[in-house]
Amino acid sequence: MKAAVSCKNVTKRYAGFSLENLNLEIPAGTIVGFVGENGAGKTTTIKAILNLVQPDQGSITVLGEDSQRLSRSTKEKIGVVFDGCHLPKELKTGQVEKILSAMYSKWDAACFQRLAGKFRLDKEKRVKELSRGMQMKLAIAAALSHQPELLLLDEATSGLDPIVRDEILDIFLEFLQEEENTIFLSSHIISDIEKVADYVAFIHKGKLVFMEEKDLLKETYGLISCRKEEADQIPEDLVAGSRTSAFNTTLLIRGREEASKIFHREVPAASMEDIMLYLSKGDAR
Amino acid sequence: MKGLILKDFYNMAKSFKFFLLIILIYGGISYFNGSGAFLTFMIILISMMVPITALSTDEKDQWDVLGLTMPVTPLTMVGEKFLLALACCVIGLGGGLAVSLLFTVTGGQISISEILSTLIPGAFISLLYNCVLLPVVYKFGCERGRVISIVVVMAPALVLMILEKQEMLPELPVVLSWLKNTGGLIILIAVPVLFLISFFLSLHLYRAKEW
Repeated sequence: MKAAVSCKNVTKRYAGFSLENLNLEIPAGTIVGFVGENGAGKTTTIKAILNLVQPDQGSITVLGEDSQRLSRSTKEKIGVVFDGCHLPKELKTGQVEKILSAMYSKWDAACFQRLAGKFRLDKEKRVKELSRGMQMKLAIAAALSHQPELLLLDEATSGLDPIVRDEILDIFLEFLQEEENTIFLSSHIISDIEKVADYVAFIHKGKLVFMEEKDLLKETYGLISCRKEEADQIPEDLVAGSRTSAFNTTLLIRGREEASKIFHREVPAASMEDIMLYLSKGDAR
Repeated sequence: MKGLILKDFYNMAKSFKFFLLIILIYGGISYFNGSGAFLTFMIILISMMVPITALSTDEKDQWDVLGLTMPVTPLTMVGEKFLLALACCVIGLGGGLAVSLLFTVTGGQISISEILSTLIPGAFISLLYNCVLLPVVYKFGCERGRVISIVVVMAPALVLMILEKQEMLPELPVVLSWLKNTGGLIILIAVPVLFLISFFLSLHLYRAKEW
């Protein structure tokens, strides 16, 4: 499958944090959910893809081009939404549309109008007068209205109420109806990822823990509580994480079918939240 | 570039109205005082303030983080601000000329040549100020940049004061004569060259930034 974005051995070091040897491919035509706790490296990864920060090592290609030498025509195909609206706060919504239409050669005014109507964006209101949810809706409308092929969304739904998030996720699914369109959605709201993602990439403390098909994750990872003696009998390679209390041990299993045979009972599928929690905070193995 | 210029224009619209009011007020003061100095000073000050105000607004909005993901290059982002500085200088000159014409037509006490003799050097001073200020702002950000630029502007004034106290400064007629001849030509060439150097330095600093 063709990759919309390909990160090879990407490393970026800061004092107190580093993104280490990131190897990540975002297949074209899919939604990849990029999950991780706060400070895991999600924003750093997205900024490296956009060449807003320069990796210390490694290479990144975006839509077939080196990320550090993106042509104008490739940038036209990338839509970006950051956490927090970076559009000029003093401008009215209508003025934002005018400047963006001057910046993108393929600006789709009809698409923007349609989304502005759907989101109930008031043309006369200044960006600073909009609520956070409305600002994000404006940013999303702007990102979608220049015929992008790749959408990079950095916590674009965080801080929004469930109704607004649901609306926005539906729009993303609509966007994906074009086969070549790709979405890379970073979020710590697992339910959003579970709803729309084809693939899930989990990053923890600057390292990519896994990138898997979402449905495969449910088949692979399970969560089971058992006595400590039972837990000790499980082979190490099947246990991805564990938490021990005074009374029992809860295991995150990597290989549900095999573990079910050992336990002589079905190991229930772990939710994505459990997977994240146990791999981040549990005694991960 | 067009989108960036439009953005700054919209951002500064409220400020432009305020600046126009200031110019009218100081124009009036100049008219009744019979001296173009007030107006010239104001026009220079405004054309010095506009680019830094635009940069400050961008910094507050974190616009560059989003802007650089759009089909613009660092060259365009920086170039637009320098173009803005140049445009302010030209508009300031044009505005000053327009006001001086108004003074002449309404029988004012000051002449066009008197206004031009302060306006043209003032325009160069505003360009020179931006030559120093813009790279400083790109390096240190707007808040620190403003403080550093005040120091940079005050330092020559301080030096001149000390030289004057020591009676080491040439007489004003000598200075004016020099400016009218060789000096003027040197400034005419030096300021655009400095402007270009400032642009390339700013571009280098901007490209090295991480967002």
